[in-house]
Amino acid sequence: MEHALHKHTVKSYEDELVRLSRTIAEMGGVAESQLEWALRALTTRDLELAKRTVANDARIDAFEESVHDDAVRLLALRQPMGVDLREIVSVFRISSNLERIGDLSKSVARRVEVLNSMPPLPQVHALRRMGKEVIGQLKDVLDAYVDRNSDRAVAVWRKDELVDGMYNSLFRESLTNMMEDARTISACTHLLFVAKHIERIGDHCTNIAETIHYLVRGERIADERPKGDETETMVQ
Amino acid sequence: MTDFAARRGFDTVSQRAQLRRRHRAERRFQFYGVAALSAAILFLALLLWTILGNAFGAFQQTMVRLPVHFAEDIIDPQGTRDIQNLGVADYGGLLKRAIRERFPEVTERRVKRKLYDIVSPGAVFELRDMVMQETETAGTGEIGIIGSTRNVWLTASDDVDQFLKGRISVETPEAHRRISDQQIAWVETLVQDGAIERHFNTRFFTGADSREPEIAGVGGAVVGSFLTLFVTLILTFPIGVAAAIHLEELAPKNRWTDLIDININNLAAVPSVVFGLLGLAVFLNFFGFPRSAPVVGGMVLALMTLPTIIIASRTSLRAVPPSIREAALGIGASRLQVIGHHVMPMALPGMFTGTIIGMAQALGETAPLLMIGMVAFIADIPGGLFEPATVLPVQIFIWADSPERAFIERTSAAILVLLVFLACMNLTAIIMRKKFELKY
Amino acid sequence: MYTELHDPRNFSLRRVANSGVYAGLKVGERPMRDSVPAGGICPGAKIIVRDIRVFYGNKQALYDVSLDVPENRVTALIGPSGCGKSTFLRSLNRMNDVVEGCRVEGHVMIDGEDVYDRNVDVVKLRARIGMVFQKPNPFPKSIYDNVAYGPRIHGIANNREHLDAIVRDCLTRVGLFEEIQDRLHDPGTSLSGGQQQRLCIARAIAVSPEVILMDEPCSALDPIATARIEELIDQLREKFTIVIVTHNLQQAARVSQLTAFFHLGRLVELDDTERMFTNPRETRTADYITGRYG
Repeated sequence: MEHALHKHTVKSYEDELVRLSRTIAEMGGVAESQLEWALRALTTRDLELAKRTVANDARIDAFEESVHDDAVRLLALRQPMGVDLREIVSVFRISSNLERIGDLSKSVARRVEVLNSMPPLPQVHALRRMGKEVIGQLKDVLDAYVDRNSDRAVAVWRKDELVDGMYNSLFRESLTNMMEDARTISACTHLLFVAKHIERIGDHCTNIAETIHYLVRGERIADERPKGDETETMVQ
Repeated sequence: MTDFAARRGFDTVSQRAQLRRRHRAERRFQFYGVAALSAAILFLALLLWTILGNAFGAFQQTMVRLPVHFAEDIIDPQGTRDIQNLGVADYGGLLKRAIRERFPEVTERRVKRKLYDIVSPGAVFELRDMVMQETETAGTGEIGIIGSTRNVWLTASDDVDQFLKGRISVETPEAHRRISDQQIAWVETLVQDGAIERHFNTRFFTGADSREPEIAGVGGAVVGSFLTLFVTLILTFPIGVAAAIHLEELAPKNRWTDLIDININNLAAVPSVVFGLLGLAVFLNFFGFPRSAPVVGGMVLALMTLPTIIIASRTSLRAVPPSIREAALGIGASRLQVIGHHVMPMALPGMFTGTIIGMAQALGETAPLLMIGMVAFIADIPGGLFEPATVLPVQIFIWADSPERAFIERTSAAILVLLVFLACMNLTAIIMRKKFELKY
Repeated sequence: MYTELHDPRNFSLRRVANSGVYAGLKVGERPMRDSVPAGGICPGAKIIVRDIRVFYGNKQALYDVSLDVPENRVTALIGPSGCGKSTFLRSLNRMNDVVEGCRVEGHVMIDGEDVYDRNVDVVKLRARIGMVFQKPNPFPKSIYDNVAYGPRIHGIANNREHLDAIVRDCLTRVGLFEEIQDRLHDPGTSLSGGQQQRLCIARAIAVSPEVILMDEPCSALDPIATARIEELIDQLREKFTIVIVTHNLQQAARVSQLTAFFHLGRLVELDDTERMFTNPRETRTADYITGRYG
């Protein structure tokens, strides 16, 4: 299935599919910038930006709704088969993943106000690194979607381990911090939530990667998914 | 239209002109069609009118009433009442005596002969038939016809008949007409006496051909045609249908079947007289069949009709939807079952129609029958397939060729009979078709 | 004959591997790549086709098609017009025999018996492999006679009651009996298109065939009638092995368990229907099923 397919005989069908795919890419771009803004607002303690980010989330929700409607209409009117069917299914999945990413970015941005009221913590740097990594992954996975490149998607999927590792160490660090200085507990908890959100965004990127693999190859990724989050069992 | 055209931008001058031309052309075309049809109907009506007008006279025959004394000394001098003797008696003498007695003033021999010509020569047979029939049916001890005097209606001669029907004009100089002034005077006397009447001409339908138009009939020709067509039908329908089924359903399509195909189509276009020559050479000279016999005529016409029937039958076989054959084959029917159970029932109406059309063509055919001697003068109604016979179209041909005036109306009447015969055949075809038609 | 089949030169292993695997599987079960039986013949196959080549005169219509039709399944044949799917279908019950200049090479085996064997009686064969056509084609006879025709010519019914029972049973099975029981002696052509097609199916199953071949059975019907036929096909699957040619991909997807894609006289791909319509292996198949063909 790596060979290039012909164009559809029905041109409007082809156009609609292309448009749908483009909307997803666009939505991905917005989600990406949302994540970026949220992280920047967090690290630079920019409340204004944070507020803008929260407000902007409505755009992603609107995107998701319109993408869903379009996809349903295509299903009803065109009865897609084969790769087109997978395309539509992928649109559903990717769009809801992106919507979740947008939500999580919003949650990150919401915590900026509280965090700003407290002294900055050293973990923020680790958080920024982690955020950078996740943004990179999101970018990669969206590029993989645009190029229909399953190899690149699989590469992202494998890199999720890295984010999980970062999260684990940040978790550990915060735990230590809180035990050493009880006054930081409040800020640390907030930061931990932010970290968890970013880690979740990483997971969503992995989901998108899986979807892309399914879209391109028609099957699931054969390997077991690397499980990196160990914090459920972590006791210090 | 102008509004609509204007809105759609169809309103340039040239476009409007073109549109007008187009409509005109269409109307012209329609007019040509109607004109052609009207001309055809006109000619048909004209033809029928002429034939009907001419034929009308033939259905009525002028009769003369004469008191005839059935004298025993002439009919049965021995007094035996033996049918055999009664048959050969001198009825001519009896008739002549009756005529003489009616016009006692005529004495001269030459004038007497003219007088006798008022009554048809066929009247002699009428008298004989009357005597023989009555003697046969009469019981013993009855007085009977012999010895009595009776008023008898006898057939008038064709000249009297034609004169009274107004076909011979008095203005014509005497030398140029077949009826003399004296004869006209006698006829007028008879008319005044009420001794001349027109009766329905039964003999025309029941009688055979004769040299005398007033006693000639188409009965013989109708029976001859019927017998001939019977032979043709018996031969062509099974052979034609079997050939069509074989060619259409069973035979592989190769060079041989193509050749046969072409030849059948060509045979349908061969002039019919050629088939007559073939019949003469093969059936008469080689196989020694009797001349003028319906069986030979039927065989010759069968040869001529066969291609038509094969082609028609093939067409109707081809018209059976292939899906029916597939359905039957798909359920496991053998080829014979497919043909027998499904194809034939659906093709049969078409085959009937084709056959009747072929038969109608054969009915109207003259030329091939001339070649095998069916043009001979046959004064008897044929009793069987091997007896000399003639057929309707040949009868028409013979009559049309005869000089007597009275044959003109008889020719038309015979044509009318032929047309009715044809119409009956077509009606049969339609009825058969309706009856056997399977809707799909 | 089997020795010929076992000769690896006689057929393409890939295709057999492609086909044999699925035959024994339940619907929806994923095939295992390495479960190809030795020799390529799978145990559940009702019809085994090996390297069949069909010629119409000098024109070749089918090129070395090998395919196993599993028992009690619906196998759909799809592909563009003129791809040979109908030719393939018709070579299964030798309907091509009546086509002028048609020549078939290769083997078609039903229960191990070669259909093209010299000793095979075509009439009996067609009673075993029934057929339903594109256009509903009831005989111009009564509904009763349409169904009774097959049993009559094959001498299946012992007496009048038996024949009545067969007719009633077949009409019931195609869901027609309720609708038309009081006009059994009306002409079959008086029914609606969908009813006619069901009548044709009843006619086909009246001779208790083992396999039913369907050549685009719904192409002349409206969606409701089509749905009824599709439902019927699904029911018939319990008793019969069904091979259906269809131009309607959705229909193939709905009714079949196995789908074969033909293109230019070759079998391009054979797979589980489910897989065929979500993730076909071959680009040509993908192009065709997604509406990108040509």
